[in-house]
Amino acid sequence: MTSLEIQFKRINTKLSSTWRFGWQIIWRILDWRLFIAPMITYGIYRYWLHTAESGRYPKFILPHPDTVWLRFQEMYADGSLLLHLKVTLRESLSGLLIASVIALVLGYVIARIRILNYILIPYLIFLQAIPVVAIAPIIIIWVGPDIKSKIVIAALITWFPLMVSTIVGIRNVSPQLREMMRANVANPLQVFWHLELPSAMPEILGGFKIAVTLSVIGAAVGEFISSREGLGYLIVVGRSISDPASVFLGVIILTAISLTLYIIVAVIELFLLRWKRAGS
Amino acid sequence: MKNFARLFLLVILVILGIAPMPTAHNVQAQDDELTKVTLFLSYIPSVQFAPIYVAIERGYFAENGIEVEIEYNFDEANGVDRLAINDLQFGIISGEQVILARSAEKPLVYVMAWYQNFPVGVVVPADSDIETPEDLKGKMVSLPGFQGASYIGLRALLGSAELTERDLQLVPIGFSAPEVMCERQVDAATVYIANEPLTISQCYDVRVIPVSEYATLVSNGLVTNEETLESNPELVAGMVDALLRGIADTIEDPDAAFEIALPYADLPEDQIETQYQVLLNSVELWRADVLGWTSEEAWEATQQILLETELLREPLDDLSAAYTYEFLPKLPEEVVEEE
Repeated sequence: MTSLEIQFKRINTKLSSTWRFGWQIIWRILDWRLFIAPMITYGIYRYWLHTAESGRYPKFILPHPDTVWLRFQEMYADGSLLLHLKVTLRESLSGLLIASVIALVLGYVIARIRILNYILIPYLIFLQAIPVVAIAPIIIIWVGPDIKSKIVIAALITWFPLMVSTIVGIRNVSPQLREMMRANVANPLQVFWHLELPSAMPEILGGFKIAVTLSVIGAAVGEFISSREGLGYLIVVGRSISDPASVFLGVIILTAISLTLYIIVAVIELFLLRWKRAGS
Repeated sequence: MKNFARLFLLVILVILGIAPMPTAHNVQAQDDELTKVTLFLSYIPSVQFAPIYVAIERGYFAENGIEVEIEYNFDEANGVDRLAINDLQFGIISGEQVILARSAEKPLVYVMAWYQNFPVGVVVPADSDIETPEDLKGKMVSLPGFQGASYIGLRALLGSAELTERDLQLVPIGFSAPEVMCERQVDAATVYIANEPLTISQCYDVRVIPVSEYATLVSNGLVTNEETLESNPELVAGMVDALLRGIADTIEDPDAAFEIALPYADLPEDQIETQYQVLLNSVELWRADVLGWTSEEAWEATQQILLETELLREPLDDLSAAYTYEFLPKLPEEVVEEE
């Protein structure tokens, strides 16, 4: 253990629970390892800049970063970028919400009632394996061609990893602890709230980390199929009118949204699982 | 050790035995030194490409020293990019894509019209009160998306009736028109008229309002790039000649063309009748007094629609550089006089 880490532990033990969480966040931000990813991103940017300026690829294949930046400024100024961003965010978060409810309930029920594993899982895998593009016409007929179809597509792409992680999490709950709670006459709700949910939380949050990024992909895929707004639409139109700057801008913003949502889940995880770190 | 040597010898003999031997056909092809060309088509194998199959099977490409390999790819934008960097030399590409490509400094050139009539239209139920573009006012009309040939065609149709997008409700549905129309979720759908009305007519009788009756736009055509035009004009001439002969043959004898196209399209038995009708519809799109030509007015009109829809920011400096008539058969005197 380095002297810096000893210092951190010393301060950490003196703080109250809430302050300790805040301190942990600050400590995390100061962690040098967190700077690796931005450094790599900067390296990629430099490589992009160098390749674009070298003239190895025509600018209609690889636009210059400045062109993309200019397009960003243009679209930000006229408000269209914010509109596309809002639409995609609304679709992906709504899809994530629907997928979460379905996946958590279904995952819990399947984990607890073993026979359902044999009955439902093959159908659920079948549902997951269907390419969304193939069933897009049916989705459009069922829910309409407006934002609802994009939300359904986002939910369809998102729910499966979340359900699997819930099943794994609930199944990994210690049988001894379960037995102990039963011996103490805990009712099913108490068992769920005080044992199952906290025990399964690491796996569930792991599933959420995958799900948030998939929800953004799902919304964009929905927009690829049919839309008039959203970042997926921006990419489709950019491709069809030979405007690579819009395509790159759309891709970069989609990536930024995914990353932001991932970080939000990671911070929530840090907060919810602080008991685990304190225990270890 | 001896057994191992025998076994080794046996393996060698088997490998030599199953190795492909040069056939007379291969030798012939090598001798002829055909130029291999990939032709990009932005759809699946279909009877709608019958003229290409006819030109292959009747040896029109081979006569011009060309061996064609077809690449089917749904992503037209990918084809446009690869044509622009000379990764591909030929593709059947929408006319408006050539204008958009050139606005992005992609050196594409349109050398021959594939369809003489714009292949997009609006389909309505036969009992609908929509009979002309004017009747679309206030109706719910679907379209694949707000880009591409369908959108351009619809905008031209609305323009002919002095309507704007605000006069009706446009619904983007991707390529789900048959399903959406069969469920009667919209009043009309913007479709490719060769095949989609046939699918919808399996639900109920339909009527089609073709864009080509109200506006002259540039439809799909054979597109190459400036590099190929400059370095190998004979190849371009050979491609145009073979395709025009294929189209002429298909118009003249659709039955024979359909027979030739069948193995390429690989159709299930229950689809043969419908697809034959698709071919007959396509023949009407190919039919013209002189094949392969587009008019300057059509190019101007297409560019104008792109500007109105803001898909194109400003007109091309030189629209005429987007196309060439150099490889087409000469127009008959009476047509030239008319123009």
